[in-house]
Amino acid sequence: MKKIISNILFFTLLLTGACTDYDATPFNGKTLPRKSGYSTGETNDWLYLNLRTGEFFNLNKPNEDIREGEQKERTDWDIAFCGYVFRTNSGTSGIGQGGVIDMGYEGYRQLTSLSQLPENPQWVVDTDKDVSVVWSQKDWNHHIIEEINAGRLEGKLEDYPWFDPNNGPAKTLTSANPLLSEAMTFAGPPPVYTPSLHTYVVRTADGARYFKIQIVSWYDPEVAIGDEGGRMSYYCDELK
Amino acid sequence: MRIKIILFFLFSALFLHTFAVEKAVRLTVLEPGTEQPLAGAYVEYADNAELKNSKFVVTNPDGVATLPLLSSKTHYYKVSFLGFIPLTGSVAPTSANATVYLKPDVMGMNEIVVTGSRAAHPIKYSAVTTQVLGGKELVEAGYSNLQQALQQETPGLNIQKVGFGNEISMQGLDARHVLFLMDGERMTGDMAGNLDYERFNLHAIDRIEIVKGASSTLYGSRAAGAVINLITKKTSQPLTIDAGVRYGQMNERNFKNPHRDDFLYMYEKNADQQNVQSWVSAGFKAGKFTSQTDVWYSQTDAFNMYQHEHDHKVYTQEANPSLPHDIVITDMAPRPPMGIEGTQHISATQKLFFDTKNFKMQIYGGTFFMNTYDMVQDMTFSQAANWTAGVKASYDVKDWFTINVSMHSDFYDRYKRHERIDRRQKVYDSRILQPRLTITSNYFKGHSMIFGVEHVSDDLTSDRFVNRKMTTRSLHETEYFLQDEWTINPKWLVSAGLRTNFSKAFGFMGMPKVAVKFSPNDHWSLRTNYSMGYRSPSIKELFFNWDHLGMFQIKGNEQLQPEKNHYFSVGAEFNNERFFFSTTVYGNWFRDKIEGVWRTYDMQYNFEYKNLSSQRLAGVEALLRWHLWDCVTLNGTYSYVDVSKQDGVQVNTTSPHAATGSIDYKLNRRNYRLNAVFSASYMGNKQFDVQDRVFVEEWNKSVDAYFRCDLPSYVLCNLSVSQTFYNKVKLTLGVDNMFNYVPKTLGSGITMFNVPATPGARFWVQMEFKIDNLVKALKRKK
Repeated sequence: MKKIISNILFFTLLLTGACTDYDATPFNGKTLPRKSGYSTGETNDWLYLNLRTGEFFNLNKPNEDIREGEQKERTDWDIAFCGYVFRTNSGTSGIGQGGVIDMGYEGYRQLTSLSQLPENPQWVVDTDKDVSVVWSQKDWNHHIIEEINAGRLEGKLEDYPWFDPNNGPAKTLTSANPLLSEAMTFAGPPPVYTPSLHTYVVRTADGARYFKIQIVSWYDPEVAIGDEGGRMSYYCDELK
Repeated sequence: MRIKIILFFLFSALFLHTFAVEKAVRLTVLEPGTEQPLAGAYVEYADNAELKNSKFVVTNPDGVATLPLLSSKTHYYKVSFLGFIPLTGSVAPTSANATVYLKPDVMGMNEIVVTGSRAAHPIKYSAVTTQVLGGKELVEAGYSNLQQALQQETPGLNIQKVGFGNEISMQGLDARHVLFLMDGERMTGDMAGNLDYERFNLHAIDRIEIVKGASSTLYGSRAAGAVINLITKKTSQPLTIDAGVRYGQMNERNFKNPHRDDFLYMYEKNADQQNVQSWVSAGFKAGKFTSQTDVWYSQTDAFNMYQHEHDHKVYTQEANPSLPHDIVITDMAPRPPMGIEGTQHISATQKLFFDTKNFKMQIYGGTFFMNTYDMVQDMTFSQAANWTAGVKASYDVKDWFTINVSMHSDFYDRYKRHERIDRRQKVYDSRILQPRLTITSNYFKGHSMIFGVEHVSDDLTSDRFVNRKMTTRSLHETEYFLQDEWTINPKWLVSAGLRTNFSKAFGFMGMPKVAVKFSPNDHWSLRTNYSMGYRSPSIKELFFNWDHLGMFQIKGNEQLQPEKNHYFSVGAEFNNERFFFSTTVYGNWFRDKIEGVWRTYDMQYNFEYKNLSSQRLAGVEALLRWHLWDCVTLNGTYSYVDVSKQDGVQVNTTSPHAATGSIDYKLNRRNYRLNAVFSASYMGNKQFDVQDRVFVEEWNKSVDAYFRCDLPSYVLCNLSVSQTFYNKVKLTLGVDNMFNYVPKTLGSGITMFNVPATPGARFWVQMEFKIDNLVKALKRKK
């Protein structure tokens, strides 16, 4: 009898003991050096990255190296991040020959060479009519005051809160890559950032090199508990 | 000579002793059909038909009670056992053995209830309408947890998924007005009034008593809408050990091959746990001591629910008279999936009893741990840890006067735990301490009186009061209550009571109640009840101050006053051996009802708690049980509630119509029992208005407006079939949501979670073992 009871208790404890095993291997991907987007106070706070050299622009603060609009004439960047929205040096965002193709769900490890790309890939370039970014509260207020002063909106500034509980924060269209911006979706409140876990291939601004990229989280692996995140974690490697 | 006399007396004593031993009667108590012994049945006996100066014994695991004869007269007995109709009879002193069969109490009219009056009464003598759900029957029906059981068995009770977890509603009221008790004691750790319902181990429950309507006179704040009291098991047998395991189909496989290299490995692994449960319930009784131990482990996987169409909002002119016309807006973005969290939890309780004729004492303790794995990839999951402890004692000073004292405490902590680093952070710490003294007396003929005083000390520490720093806020209340139940004659029963409440924050309040029961004969009962309820504002409603990432602010209001309500009901009940029907018509009038409302100022939305104006809820409920044949019983419940609108706006999310029904089939053969239960629960269409803003093109500006949320009616059906072999092993197979109902719409905006959280039809299997019986049988074989 005692044996049976102790077996049952052992089984129960065994199940309980299996609760919290930290058995994941250390993350060997990359993490953005800082948060970007509306939470820094700028609506178009873009963090630019040259995939070929690994160099970041606007590394310390918004518009430090490349002001909004200046990116269009430069070819020393390949990809840019603003919150969970992405640019490539192509289309309405830049004069480069960048662009993106989607290689499907996961498959990051399996994609190892250029020969695995489709024969005639349809490179998706940036547009300014498909993707929105969240207004910063400061920019939103300026925008509303301008609209009211111009007679395009009625009422007072207070009538147009930046955030409403049913629709989320206010947004505005921006120039961005519509395909790559599907790599992360936002829903809320409460804010939920969900990576698509698709693997994308990004063509560099010079049109000569190709990098595979997979966004895996809105958070960095050592993010503090309670931190709202924003330093995205991702894998990125060159395809040859 | 003296030696001879002494020897004579010694022999005489020995002879008398032997006679007495030989003259004991062995009474065997069996279940009809299966012929299985009923261990733990209570046998009261005496040598007079009125059972005056009676003695009692309990049947052993073989169902045998040995009744030592008290005299040479005929002996009379009364055999009682939970779930069976009590049986009376007599046995001649010349008989050595007797066998009796107890009939199952299908109508449940012999249940003992305590919640409605804080004193034990058979349900048919209760002044207040009480619904009783037997723990054994709930397990037999195949329910996997308390939420499912309550939803399928209780008219008008609904548990749905909302943003923060589960949300219960009953008779148009939310969880803040429904008081859950465990053996009459409160628990803490609630979210908007909702406890972690996983704390309740279905396998440890003896019965659930549900009293609807205001019961604040006996239970104070939060009992303004209903009291659900879970009475836990206490064994009456020398030894009993029950154990079981359950395996259910997964809700959804979210990740096919989680790999340790995955960034979200722990998240993926936790979301896709197997659906398993295991439990042990063990008790022993040795003389005056009784011990009862219950352990339950359960884990379920997380899943998503999907809406294929984009959100669709209708801003009606009815709810927004100032709008130029109805406005319809279809969301541009597709609706993201709604994640239903998986859980992993264990609960363990230990109770020790010491019972003598005049003195009873109970020491109890329990613990509960739960991990909640939501579908939000935010690098954390939620952990809860709970400890409960207390002591209760009662002493019969006289046969008409009893003193009861108790001290109850409940501690609940909530943590956020990292999903990649072994680190956690406490975000919530709640504790209650509740000493109570009650005095009961039946000194005056026909009167059963209770006087009590209790103090509630409620402390909550959270990071949502002051600048995200852990800060403590407290609420202390002292209350006195008095109740008299007066049995005027066998037909009339009157119960009247008053509670007074005093707190520094809210001053003095008085809550009266009066209930009358009239039974013209054994079959009919008419009941009417008036009671006043109240609910003190919760600590959160008073002191919350939480800025949600600059998006919106939730603000408590220290100026809040308790909300009060007047509850009135009239009911009729009919029962005979095969049919039970009960119906109740009620009205519930609230004033100063506390609600959260959105207000726009300081350039942002603010969610504030306010004492709103009055609200009226009125409805009718009906319960039916029809024991059609010995093997078939039909059960049905129906609830209708009408909630008043405010200026054309319906903010209450309850459906007016709700019903449940079940067909219970039983087949008993020698050493074999088959039980099949088909149950269905119906929830009617819901229409309510949600506060929002809408842009009016004609006016070229956005205005505050309500949109109407329209959720369709649905039916969820379950089937379970169990077979019990030799009263030792039970195998149950079942399917939940057997007709595969999956909600197509998830609601809109912040109402998005107001739908049943079901992934569709899922099968399960369950095995239960009576370990003590099994071991005994094996030993016999050896």
